[in-house]
Amino acid sequence: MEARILQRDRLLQLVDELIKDYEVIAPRDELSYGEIGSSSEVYLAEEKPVKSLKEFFFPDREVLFEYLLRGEEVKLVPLSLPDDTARVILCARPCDAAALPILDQVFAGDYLDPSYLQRRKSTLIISLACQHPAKTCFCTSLGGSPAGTEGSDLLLTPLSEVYHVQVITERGRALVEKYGQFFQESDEAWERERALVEAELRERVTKRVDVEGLSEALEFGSPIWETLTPQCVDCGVCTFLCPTCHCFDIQDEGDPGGGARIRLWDSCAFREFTKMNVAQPRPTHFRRYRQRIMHKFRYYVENFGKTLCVGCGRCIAHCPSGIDITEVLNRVRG
Amino acid sequence: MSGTISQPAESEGRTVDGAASQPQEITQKIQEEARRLLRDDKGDVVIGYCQAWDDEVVSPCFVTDGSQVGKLVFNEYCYHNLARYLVGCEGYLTSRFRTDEEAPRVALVSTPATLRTVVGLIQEHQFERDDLIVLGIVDGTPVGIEPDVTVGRIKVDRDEQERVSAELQRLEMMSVSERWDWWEGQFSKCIRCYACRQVCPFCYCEQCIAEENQPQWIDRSSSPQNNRSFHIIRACHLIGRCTDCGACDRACPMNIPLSLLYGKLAAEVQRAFGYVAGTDLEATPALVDVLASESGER
Repeated sequence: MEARILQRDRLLQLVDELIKDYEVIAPRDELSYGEIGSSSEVYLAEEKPVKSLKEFFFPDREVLFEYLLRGEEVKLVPLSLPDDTARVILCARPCDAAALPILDQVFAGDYLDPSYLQRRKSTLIISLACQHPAKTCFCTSLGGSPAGTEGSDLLLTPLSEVYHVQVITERGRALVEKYGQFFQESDEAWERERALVEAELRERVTKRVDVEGLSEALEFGSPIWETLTPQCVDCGVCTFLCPTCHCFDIQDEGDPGGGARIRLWDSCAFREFTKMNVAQPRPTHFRRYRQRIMHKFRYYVENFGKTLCVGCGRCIAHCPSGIDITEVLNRVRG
Repeated sequence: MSGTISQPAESEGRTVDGAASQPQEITQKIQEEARRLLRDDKGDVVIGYCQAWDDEVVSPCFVTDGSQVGKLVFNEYCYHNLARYLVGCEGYLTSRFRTDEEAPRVALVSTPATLRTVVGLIQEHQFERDDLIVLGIVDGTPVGIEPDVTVGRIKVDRDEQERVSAELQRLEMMSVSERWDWWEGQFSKCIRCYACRQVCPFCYCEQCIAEENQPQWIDRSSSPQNNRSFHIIRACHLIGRCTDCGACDRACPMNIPLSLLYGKLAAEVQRAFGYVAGTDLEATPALVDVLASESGER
């Protein structure tokens, strides 16, 4: 493992240096990550931000093209890529970072989404290990960890006196070298402490779900679906806050004189989701919820070999009806 | 959360003594009634609350079997307006996915705000009084319905009322443009998840204007302008109907203080028309009354 050490009191100085060179995004309040203009704006709390990082790669409203109607003439303004300003996401939750390689399967796999790719390429991610996993967290059941490295370029782990800085990618190494004055070499003692800290943080994640053989256990035709979540109100909280849910709708917005074609977040919980001219394929609640579970834990696994969930627990913490997806999964497999 | 409505100390026709029941007593009473209804075949489903994933989280639950009765609970976290599950295209009393003959006999655990909501839904002809067995929890505030069984008495959350009222006063001290900016700031947080609408018993429309696209009244994506349109239209549709239960406020993941908006509307309706939603089953709803008199029908 390649690693450096960053003195605790130098983190904020580093942030201010980064702000000179990059657009820096960090947890800004209890609700969301956002661009910060100074290290004093970083909001570090026990709870993760309500919204995940996905909006910085897959925005909830994206213009695909614009159109103008002038008399008989229609003018199309094609998609312009998001600007390629280099961005650093700082103090990302490891679960939010881990969601990005999962989203890559859809937006940067068979199909290459230009906007998504541009944002991915121009963004470096420095995660911060979770010191206070919530009761709703279950990342360790899905291959993650409060100090997980998946999707990050660098990972900061708070040790007793310093931050341990794990170098995960080439881009991460380049950044550490560019700001070499802030870092010192790690040594065996720090490495030992880091391993202990991670083990301890993992212990704090107490919610579990058994995903071994889960995908095979989920049967579309099972009668259990009808009884699972009658309390669900079909809102979009779980899907919109989920760092991996990525279904979208395409809508035209504007008036006859001009407007835009927009890609926006959609949710399988909505009654209108994938509604077609002839019918609504999932007219009742249980069919919609079944879609959510099947997509995350079966279809995605079959298509991409990954589970469409990182165990961040936002869908549990914020569900207006108190639904716990881990309990649902445990019940559905019997 | 019953907002800023000033209410008489006693409800009409029933005196509620000052002693509030302990949550365990209410839980016990709900369980007793549920067991009796299911055992005597007087009801098919009891809609109540059960413990969820944490001590401070409950979940609406639907008990159809005597063996499940033990999971019903009542405590301070039971703020969901369960009347929501009665109506709409999949509602227990109005589902279009079954015939009238298949309609279940429903018993509903109802907090004071839920009781007022039931009144409103009956006034709006969503169902009849006799279609529902009401297991009521009262707090001395007026509710326009006599529960079939009163399963408990709770205290009004005065602290919360005062908090909302102080916050409203603060907003009212602002200039119009300051207040507009403040609400713009709140609505700009909206992610259009529609949790507010989905938990609301009065948002039972099968086709919400937010999703209508011929014509498209409100653009679907989340932008300050679109969000503002959605929230203002929803508020207008709930004037004089909202019972200020606070479910939308609590459901909002982005902490938009919808109670302030709806508390204000309820207070305005009371000020202008002397009407408090859900307190009198026989009353003509304020908006109906006004529209009828303006069109000369009254």
